[in-house]
Amino acid sequence: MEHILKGINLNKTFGTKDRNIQALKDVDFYIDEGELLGIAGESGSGKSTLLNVMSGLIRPDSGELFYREQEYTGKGPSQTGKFLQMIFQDAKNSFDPRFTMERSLLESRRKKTDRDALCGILKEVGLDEKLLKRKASELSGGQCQRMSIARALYSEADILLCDEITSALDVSSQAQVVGILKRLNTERKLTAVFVSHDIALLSMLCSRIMVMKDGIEVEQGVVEDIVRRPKHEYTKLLIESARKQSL
Amino acid sequence: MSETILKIQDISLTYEECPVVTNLSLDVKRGELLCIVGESGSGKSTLLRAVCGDESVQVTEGSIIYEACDIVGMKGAERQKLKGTRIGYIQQNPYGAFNPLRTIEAQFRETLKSHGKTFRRTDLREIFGILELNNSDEILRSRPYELSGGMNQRIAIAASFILRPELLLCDEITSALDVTTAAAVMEELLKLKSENGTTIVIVTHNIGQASNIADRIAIMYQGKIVEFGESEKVLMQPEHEYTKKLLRDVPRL
Repeated sequence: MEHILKGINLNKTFGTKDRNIQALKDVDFYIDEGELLGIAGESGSGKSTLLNVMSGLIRPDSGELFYREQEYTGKGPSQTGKFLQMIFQDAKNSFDPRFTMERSLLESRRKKTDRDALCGILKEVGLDEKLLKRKASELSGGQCQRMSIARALYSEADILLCDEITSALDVSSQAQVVGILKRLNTERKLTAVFVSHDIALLSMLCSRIMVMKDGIEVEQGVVEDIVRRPKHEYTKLLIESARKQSL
Repeated sequence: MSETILKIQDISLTYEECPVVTNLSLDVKRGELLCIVGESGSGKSTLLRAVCGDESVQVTEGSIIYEACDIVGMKGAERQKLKGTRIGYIQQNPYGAFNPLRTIEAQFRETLKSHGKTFRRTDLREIFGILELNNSDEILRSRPYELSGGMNQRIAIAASFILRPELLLCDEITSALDVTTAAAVMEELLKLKSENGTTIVIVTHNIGQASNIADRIAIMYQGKIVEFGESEKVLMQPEHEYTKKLLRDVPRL
């Protein structure tokens, strides 16, 4: 089967005055259509860099990226935006503070405006149409995050790339967002990548998890294997620590 | 010595003129680890700040009794004496805890001196080691802005630990930390409790975290405590709808 998104041998180094930090070291990844992939790791693991490389926001030093077998290495967000959309942790700041939600959402779509589609999507993420008249500052954190999911869906991208999208939310808002994404995955075969430090959250949401540490892919596999039968010492530590922080 | 170290009675609090907490009562037993669990805006941080005497929080009604003494009406200097060695407080934002321009060593020296204690590198190294702050000499030479948020938080925790307070108040101290570091910090708190008999109050949004360490759990919602009891009871037989919802919503492994 062809992978919807694939990366081979990705490398990225960030240089500072004193030293170089290799954020990605020979990382490979793939995502199949309709799959929810989780990338777990702690600060400095390279998980966000990997997501930014996937989206074309950061150009890798070496390696190749493919969307449906077509290479897109080196293409920026203006090109990749046709097939993928990023969602960020800080949803409020991802909207222009002067625009109403309506304007922000309508602007995100390259195709003709389709009001029915927009209203349908808002219903799917559990938001009232009236909220379209508001600006980002007039919405709660959870509402804003659901708006940014709606925006990504409305742009008709094939793949959502989500960077810690629930870590600023309360557990109840988080549960709501997770519920929405799971339903979208079942009902419309949503394909998405989730980057998170919270492996418990990823285990509830994703079908496959990739564990990263210091720019290296430590281990990857289906959730069941990663959680019940972790092979790598670091994965074991991560799971054990997460157990101490969850019910 | 009475069994209750801290007794909060019918307290109402306002923060920047907004009422946040109304008519709340809570008692903390000596030597216990109590977790106050609630979501954003529930008033849990305001409650903690009132106990440590933060001036941005006004007590409009009720009393806070620490060791049989009402600390609400206490004068500045008297109150100041309680801070640090009697009542320790670790806040969520570690940058606020330090002077940004001075080295960590200078700040540790000053903290210890102002509480009549001596600065010893060996003591500090031990505490730093526990908190996985391995290069202690380099850290002591650094200033807060040269270190990451997680590191600053661990240093703030070290600064509280080293004074060995009787009552330690922790406001979301692990929410900026990686999960492996958070687990290590929690283990340290448990050690502090069992070895020194420190009474610990932790405010957290994570009921999962509370479930692993707390003797008793108080659930806060909209400025009120909606459920309070032994950890096992609250987790296994929750009575309030909000507690049930929290337990349902939290991710499990």
